Amino acid sequence: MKDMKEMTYKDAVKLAMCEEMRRDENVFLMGEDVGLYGGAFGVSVGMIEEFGEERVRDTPISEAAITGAAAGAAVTGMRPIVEIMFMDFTTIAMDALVNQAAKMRYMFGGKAKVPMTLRCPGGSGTGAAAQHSQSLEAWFCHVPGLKVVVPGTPADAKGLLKAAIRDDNPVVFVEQKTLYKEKGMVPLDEDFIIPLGKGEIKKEGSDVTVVTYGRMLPRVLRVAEELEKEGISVEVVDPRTLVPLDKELIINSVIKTGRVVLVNEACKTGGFIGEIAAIIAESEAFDYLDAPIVRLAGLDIPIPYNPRLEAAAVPSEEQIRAGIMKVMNR
Amino acid sequence: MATEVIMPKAGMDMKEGQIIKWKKKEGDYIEAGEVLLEIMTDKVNMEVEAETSGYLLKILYEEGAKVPVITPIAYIGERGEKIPEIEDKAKVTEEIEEAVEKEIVQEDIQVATNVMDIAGKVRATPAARRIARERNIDLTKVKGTGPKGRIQKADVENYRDSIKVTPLARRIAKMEGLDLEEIKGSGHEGKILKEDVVGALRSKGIADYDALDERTEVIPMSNVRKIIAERMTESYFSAPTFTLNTEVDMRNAIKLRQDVKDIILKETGKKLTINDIILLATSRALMKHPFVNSRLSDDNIILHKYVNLAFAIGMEDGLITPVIKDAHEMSLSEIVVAAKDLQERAMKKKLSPDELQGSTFTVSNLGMYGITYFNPIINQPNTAILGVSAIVDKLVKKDEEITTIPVMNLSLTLDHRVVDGVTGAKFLQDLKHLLENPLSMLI
Repeated sequence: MKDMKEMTYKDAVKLAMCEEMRRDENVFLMGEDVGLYGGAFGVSVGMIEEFGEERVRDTPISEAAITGAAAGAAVTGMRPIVEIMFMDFTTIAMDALVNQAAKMRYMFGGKAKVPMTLRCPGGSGTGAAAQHSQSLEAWFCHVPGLKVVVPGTPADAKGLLKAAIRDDNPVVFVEQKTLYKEKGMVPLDEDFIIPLGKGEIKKEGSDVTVVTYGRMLPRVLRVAEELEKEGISVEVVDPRTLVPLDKELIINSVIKTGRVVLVNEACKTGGFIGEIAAIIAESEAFDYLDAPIVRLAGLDIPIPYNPRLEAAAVPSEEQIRAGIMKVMNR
Repeated sequence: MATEVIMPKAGMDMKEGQIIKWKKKEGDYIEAGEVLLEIMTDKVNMEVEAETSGYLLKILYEEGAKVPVITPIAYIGERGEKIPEIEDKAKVTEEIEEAVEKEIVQEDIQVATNVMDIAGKVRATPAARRIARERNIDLTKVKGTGPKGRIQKADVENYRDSIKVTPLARRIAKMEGLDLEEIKGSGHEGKILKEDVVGALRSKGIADYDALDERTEVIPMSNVRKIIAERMTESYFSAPTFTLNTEVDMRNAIKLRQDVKDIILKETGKKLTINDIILLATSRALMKHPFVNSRLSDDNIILHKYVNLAFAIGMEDGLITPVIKDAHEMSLSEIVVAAKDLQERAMKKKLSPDELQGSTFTVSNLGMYGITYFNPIINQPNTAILGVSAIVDKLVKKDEEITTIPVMNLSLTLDHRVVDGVTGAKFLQDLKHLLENPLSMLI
């Protein structure tokens, strides 16, 4: 295994794409401004120079067309990576994604494969207002045939994106805008793959389990470290992929601690942590719960443009702390 | 810093000791090794020596006080040296405890109303329910300490520990409809004793269990009594026993006593009794019958290749069984000396705990009370106990003539888990032979 290198989340995503494109000529990237401009968030800067216009394709402003083209390319043997500039715009790509890409393998009796990866940055925190700040991962989780990945660290971003590109099914890969500049140690090994469906305990603990992913992960970890000093031992579980979900990891952790707090940025109503809550309640872990499950999620409102209101719309470190204290009866 | 003197723990069973007499007053100087006070444990009186030299700075408990083991009872140190402010500390602790108790009581009241918000439903977490289910605990009896009086895992786990109660106390409480949770236990680790229940009843104006009327008297069991009760119950209900009886012609044993008693008296200053001869014969017979001289330990039978012979001494406030160590190696006069010494010191309660432990077999003699037959209970962990009855004249036919001979009944109670009838019978047969032909003990 090669060395580790400190790099940003954004560079880890790029590294994963570059490695896979070097490894497999069928892998290519397309999206709005991914070529000459290097992507709206600069993820693909420099890639057009290495791989050329054929493999790093600038597209017209039509998410429906891009995603439809990708589904078609995938079914004919290519392994496209699509970048949708903001996750909010996947709504325009929904028919191609939900009705075509997700269904084809099933409807052709397994004869068709759709190895496409749809990358999209989600979440608020950049002052981009209601139409550019949503966390819509639960929409995709509700569609059988799609896999959904939300990495919370640079290393996970690399390992999971490589797994997504190599997967023969359509994968929605939700990047986190506010994490793009977060740094972390990333393995340089080209075979470093994190299998989809395998979560990770980011911090071991014994008093309470916090399940979280994506943008909320660093916040939860900071709170957990603080609480550790105050004598509360928090276990932080990151499922990393929502579909397929590492249920066993979550259930075992809850059995261990007997208390669980679920945190995500997305709106509370219909959010994916509601699904996790139901899975816990249905499982063996039920008999070990020693307090009601606590959910911390975004407010059920469009994300405000005002920066203070924007910040107040999603769980803060103070709120995460308060939620953990609540489940601990402290 | 002054050195504390603690109530010593002399023996496994000792939970508390009573201070009989302080040999020094506060302010007196005492040398290390000098006797500081006298205490009474479950079974014996003991002298406690000072472990350090210095002035007796403070006596914490007066004579007559019963004090749990390992509790400080005094301080020794240099003149003017400070001692920890025990009393103040105790007072503060008490105050805190009172305050906490009050708080808890208040909370409880709140809880009680909350828990039963919805008729017949208990607010409890799944984990609490699971544990209650596993341990067969009725959740309506558990007090929840969580939000809204919710019963949590810890509440159910503590519940099991919270009520420790003797069977008698439980029965009385049940009969009188008393909630055990309301009673504070005064026993070990807060165990609720009969006295606690009776006290609670009295405070509620139900005095039936007090001195009922002038024709009855309530006597709390002494420590010795409690231990006897515990040991006998344990023995009686753990060992399936049977008793073998035999009659021994005591003419030769009596003659032996007559022949040597003056010699032994002269040599040792002690009077030889028939019991001594029986102890001697028993120790010799046991060496030939190791299973009778054994004990059970889990799945193993442990045979002793020595005889530590206990003999029961009945005293006014209970029974004790001092042990003659290595009786199998002793001559008759040595046994006389050992037995008389133990007996005399037992009467003065001067035996050390060590002298009451480690027996391999026990002899209980009720002959002096004219008992002709009885059925002793084994002194655990022994496998057997020998009951010795009175020597009585018995009519026998001899050469067509009716004459009398002195006859004594021996009753051997055995643990059937370890030995069968034949083993016991053979031992008794040998013992009978030795007593009827005491000279054979010389061989």
